[in-house]
Order: sequence, then C-alpha cells, then structure tokens
Amino acid sequence: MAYIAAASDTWGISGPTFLGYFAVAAVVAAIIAGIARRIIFAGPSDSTRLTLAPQQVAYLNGRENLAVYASLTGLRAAGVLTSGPGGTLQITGPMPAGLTPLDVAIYNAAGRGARVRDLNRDQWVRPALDQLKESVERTGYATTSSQRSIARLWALLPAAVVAVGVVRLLDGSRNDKPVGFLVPLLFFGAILALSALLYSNRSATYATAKALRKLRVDNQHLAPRMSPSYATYGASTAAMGVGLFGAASLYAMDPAFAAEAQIQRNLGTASGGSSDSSGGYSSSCNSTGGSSCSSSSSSCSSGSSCGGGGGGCGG
Amino acid sequence: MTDYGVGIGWRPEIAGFVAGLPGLRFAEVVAESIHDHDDLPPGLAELRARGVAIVPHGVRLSLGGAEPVEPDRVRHLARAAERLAAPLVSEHIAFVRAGGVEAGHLLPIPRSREAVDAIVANVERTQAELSVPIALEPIAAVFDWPDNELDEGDFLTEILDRTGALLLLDVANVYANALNRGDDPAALFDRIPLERIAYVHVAGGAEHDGIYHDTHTDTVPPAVYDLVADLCARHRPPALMLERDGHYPPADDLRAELDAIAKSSGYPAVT
Amino acid sequence: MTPPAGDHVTSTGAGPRPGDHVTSPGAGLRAGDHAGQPGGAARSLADRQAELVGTLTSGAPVPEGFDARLVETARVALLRKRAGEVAKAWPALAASHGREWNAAFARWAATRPTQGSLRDGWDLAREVGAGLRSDAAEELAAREALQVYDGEHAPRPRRLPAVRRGDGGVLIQVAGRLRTLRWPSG
Repeated sequence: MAYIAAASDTWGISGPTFLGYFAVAAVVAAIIAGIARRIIFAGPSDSTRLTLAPQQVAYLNGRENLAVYASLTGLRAAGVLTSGPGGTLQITGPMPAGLTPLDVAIYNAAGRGARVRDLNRDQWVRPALDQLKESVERTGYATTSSQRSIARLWALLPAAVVAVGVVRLLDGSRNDKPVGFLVPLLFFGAILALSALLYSNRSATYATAKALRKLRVDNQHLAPRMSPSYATYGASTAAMGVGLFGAASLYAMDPAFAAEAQIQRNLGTASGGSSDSSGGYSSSCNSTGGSSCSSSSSSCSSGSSCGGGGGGCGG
Repeated sequence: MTDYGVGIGWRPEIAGFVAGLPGLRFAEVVAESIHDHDDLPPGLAELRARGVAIVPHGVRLSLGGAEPVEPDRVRHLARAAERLAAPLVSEHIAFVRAGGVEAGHLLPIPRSREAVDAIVANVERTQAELSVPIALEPIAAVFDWPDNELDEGDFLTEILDRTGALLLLDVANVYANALNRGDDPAALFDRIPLERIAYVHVAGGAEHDGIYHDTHTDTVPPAVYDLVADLCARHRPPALMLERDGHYPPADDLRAELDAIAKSSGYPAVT
Repeated sequence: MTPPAGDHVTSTGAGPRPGDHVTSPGAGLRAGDHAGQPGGAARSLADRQAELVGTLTSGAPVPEGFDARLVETARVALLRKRAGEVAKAWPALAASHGREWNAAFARWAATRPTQGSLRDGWDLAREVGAGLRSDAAEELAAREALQVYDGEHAPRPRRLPAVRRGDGGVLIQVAGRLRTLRWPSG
C-alpha cells in the first residue's frame, strides 16, 4: 500500500504501521520480562527434592503472619497454649521438645500474655521471623528483595513501550491525527506492563510454588473442609496444614481457639488457589441444596454416625 | 462374604491416618458425607484403588420410621454404593424423624409387631433400589418404649428373617444396652443369627449419671474387647471395625485400639 | 412446614409443632395405651413416634409409659450434642459465650427442633443480633455475604456480589469469594 502523504505522518510512520510495531513491541517486551522473571525466580532446579518445614511453607504461602499462625497451631496441638481475654495467649504446660526458634519465641511471648496481633513486633519473635525469612531466602525457596528489584527493572521494559505509545498518542492528537485505534492498544499494553510489575513481587520461587502445589495435593487430608483432627496428626502436621491451606485450617481444626485468639481467617487462603474460596466460612455442603445435605446435622454428630461430647447415640 | 479382617470408620478428620494403614482392607464411610454431584472425598478413591472395601453407612434413612423412607435418600445410598463399588451398605434399626421433625439422633423403635412391620416394609423399599445387600445395625438406646412385645433376640431375628438383610452388630451397643438394663451382654449372642453378621462395630463410650453412653468419642473399654473375643470364639465375623466419631486421639492411640481389635478377634494387625 | 423461630417462645412447647396431625398431649393417652400392651388402634406408630420426637426436640411432656428420667437424659444429651455441632459450624458464636455456650444453646434449642447445625447457628446468631460479640457478628456477616438464607429453607449461595460490615472493616463477596478490607487502625 502506498502512502502519498507520508510526510504528514506523525514521526514519519503511518498509523497502521505504528500500531503493528507497537503491539509486537509490547508483547515481546512482556515476554522478555516474563523470561527474565522465570530465570531470576527459578529457585532450586530440582523441585522434587525440596524439603520444606511447616513454618517455611507457611512463610512462603502467607509470609510472616501465617508463619506465626503455623507456630501457634503446633504449640496448640502440643497442648501447651490457650487463649486468654482480648486475643491474648497463655501457656498451659512446660515447653515441649523439638521446637523451632520461632516456636520458642512465641511460647515465651505467650508466657508474658502477648496478644496474637502483636506477636510479630515482639522483641524475641521478631528476630526468629527474620531468621526464618533468611533461611527460606538462602535456600532459594523464597525470592529475595534484590531479586524482586531486578525483576521490577525488567518489568520496566513493557512500561517503556507503553510510554512511547503515550507520547505518540499525545503527538498524534496534537496534529489532529486519528488515534482511535491506539487507545485500546495502549490500554492492553498498560495491562501487560502492570502485570509484569505485579508478578515481580512474588514471594515463592517457581520451584517452590511447584513444590507447594504438590504438597497441597499430597496433603488434601489437611484441607480445612476435612476438619482435620490435629490430635491425631500431631503438632508438626497440624502446622503444615495451616501453612499449606491458610488460617482457615486453624479454624477448622480448633475453632474456639482460633476465634478467641482473633486469627485472621482469610490469611493464606486466597493464594492457596485450590483451597476454600470463601475463606473457610462455607458450610461443607454449600454447593448443594439436596436432601442429603440440607440438614447437615446427621442423626448423630456432624456428618458422622455418632458421637458428640458424651451425647450417647447408639449408632 | 470374604474375610476382610480389622477395619476402621473412614472419617474426613482422620483421612490421612486411615490412608497410612498398610494392612487395611475394610473401611466404612458415612453415606451422607458423600454428595452425589461432588467428587468423592479426597482419599476415598485412593483407598478404593488400593483394594480396600468401603461400605457406605447410612445414618439418616430412618428405616424404623412409621412413614415410608424418602425415595431420594434411598437413591442416594444406592448411588453411593455404586460409586464406591461397595460390597454392601448398612443402616440402623432406628428412626431419626417423625411428622416432618428431625430428632437429630438415632431413636429406638418399639419392639412391637407394628414396628417390625414398618421397618420390614422400609427395608424392602430400600432393597428394591440397591444392587448390593444391606446390613442392619441395632442401636444403643438410653430409654426403651413401654410396649415391647418381643425381646431383643426375637425382634432382630424376625426383622432379619423377613427382609433377608445382614446384621451389622455393634458390640459397644450390645455392651451399653446390657449394662444399662442390667443384663449379661453375651446372652444376646445366643439369641441372634451370628452367621448373618456382615461386620462388627467396636466403639468406646462413657458413663454419665449412672448411664453408659455409646459416644464413639471415648476409648474402647476392656469389657468391649472381651465381648469381641467372646463373639469371635462363637463365630468370627468377616470384618470388625473401629468406629470413632469425634475427639479423635493421637494416631498411636488409634493404632493401639486397632491392634487390640486384631488381638481379640485373631485377625492380623493392620497397623 | 417449619414455624418461624419466633413462634417458639414458651419453654414447654405445648405450641404447634410441624406436622399438625400429631395428637395433642394428654388426649387419649389413657384410652388403652398401657405399658406392655399394643398401642390402641387410635394411636398409630407414626403418631407416637412424632410425639416422642416432640418431647425430645420441643419440650413436650414425656409420653405415657416412658421412663421420664431416661427420656430426659436422652433429651439433654441430644442438646449437648447439637451444641457441639453448632459450635463447630459457628466457632466465634460459640466462643463468644465461653463456658456458658452449652447451657445458652440448650436454652435456645430446647423448643426448636434442629434444622441442621448451619441453620441452627444462623437462627440463633440473628436472634442475638446487635448483642453479638464483634467476631461473632463478623462470622454472621460473612455467612450473610456468601449465602442467601430466608430462615425457612436451606441457605443458597448468593449469585450477586454482596457487601457487609465486618469487625473493623467490610466484607466483600464477589463470585462466591470473600474478601475482607480492614480499616487502618492502631
């Protein structure tokens, strides 16, 4: 196609040609930023060999707050922790063996009647959390802040393409050129640039994310909808459940404690992807209104054939 | 029926524990916890694939109700049996609702001819939909109806004879009833067709105000294991399972209870 | 079928029960219905089962011939069991009552047959209303944001987005997912 009035094109490039270049440039820039992220955030090469401890899982899934919750869950399952008035903690037994530094710090803070929401500012819990953070960053499980900075730099590439488009838009409209097609393309480019920036803020490396997904599948029995019995599974497994499936797991395992300790129910749930989308509030049968479900109390205790606090049932 | 040995009631709360039992060949799942339009609960399909027989155990059919069983509930039980490829299903000799009101509990029915007629009719309605046998479980009752015409042995035998159903015997119920009525628990074994037992429930209980409650949330008392041994000496059932429904103890305690059942029955340990 | 919760205000439920064919307590009880004898023709098994369920769930008098002490034991055990189930479904509601939960629930539930633990807790929480502790109020708000419940039928998932006031923030439900926005505070 020949353009006779080529001289009057903005920057000497015709509109359709620019649109084509712009779209290709935006996509290529986003792909380059994505490849850069893949490389920067790759993590350990063999994800199947990752051995993640419960509090590390919790940190990777819900950062410091979820790590604190995982520790609380372990201590609670060990039977040494209870809730006091106003979201405070109290200890009910001697310090068990085999605690992590974070457990020890939280146990001691509970001994002083600390509130759950103040825990990560506690003078002993704070360094334990830093230590946990350092351990997952050193092993390549978590992204470091310098990795995130570098990824953000690469994310500026699609942003730069969008910036060129914006200048073109301004120049073009100043010259009374039609810019109707450029506006939606700019919008599209802006979304690419923005997501590149957001993805640069991930906390788990790709290898870790893959390992976490596998752990969630392998530990479906710890999902909140199973109301896992932490007495049966033990302290460390209970903590793993909270780490993998979020604070909703603690509500499922120990509702009274979770409610009184004012645990944030949604923490770690949304990022879990496969886990309960309603933050643990949904009933086990919200998807059906059928007869088998509408009256969720079975003839004996919830969903089971019998039992319930010395009720006596005879099933 | 083939011998399955020692089993356990699969409950979501302890699914991970059940999955980790190496020798397990028999489990039971509460039928109402399987929803027709959802996937099977995580872990159940894996157990099935391992060759573990899984029996759906209904708790809300209300077979003993004077009103006909609700067709939807019967269909649900039959569907659960098909999805699990279950060798049989089970339900209770009890009613759980009347006049449209849920009791929230398994309630005893009178041991009268009228009640036998009612439950036989309901069992037959249920059998018509099922492609596998049904086993009926007598319940532990805190109270009795005033107008019992039959004793427990005759009552059970008549229901089983008229329906052709199998028996799910809960030795903890037998123990509870005998204790609360002041009878000898083993005496019932002489009065019922032991060869019709499909499987046995073993569960714990607790005493409140002089009445033994079959709670399924406490440890199994030694006397119940003795009763298991007594029963197996007469006629060993194909499967005996631990039934725990709450206040789940540490895994080691559950394993100890499973081992105790194995020891009392002479079946190999599954732990 | 189910009478509105407000209808059950008397402690001994002589009031109407679902299934109106249930005979009124007292009438015809002595007609020929003696312990050890078959029930009178006038009183079918269905009626007598409904009467017993009424005793256990609505506080109606113990039917003639039953051991009142044992039936009472069963009734109390049933309420204890229901309290445990509702506590599991409504942890904050139960926790806000502390040690009094079982007693408080039993008082409320003594004249209300169960509609399942989800609805029982829902009805109770709505009744307490403004008196709910903040976390229990948020628990109710979250459920209200996720599901439609008319007090008569099983709750259904909400199709449209919903916003509810939470404990120091707002709860936003979009497409069945619940988000909590907290006001910044110290």
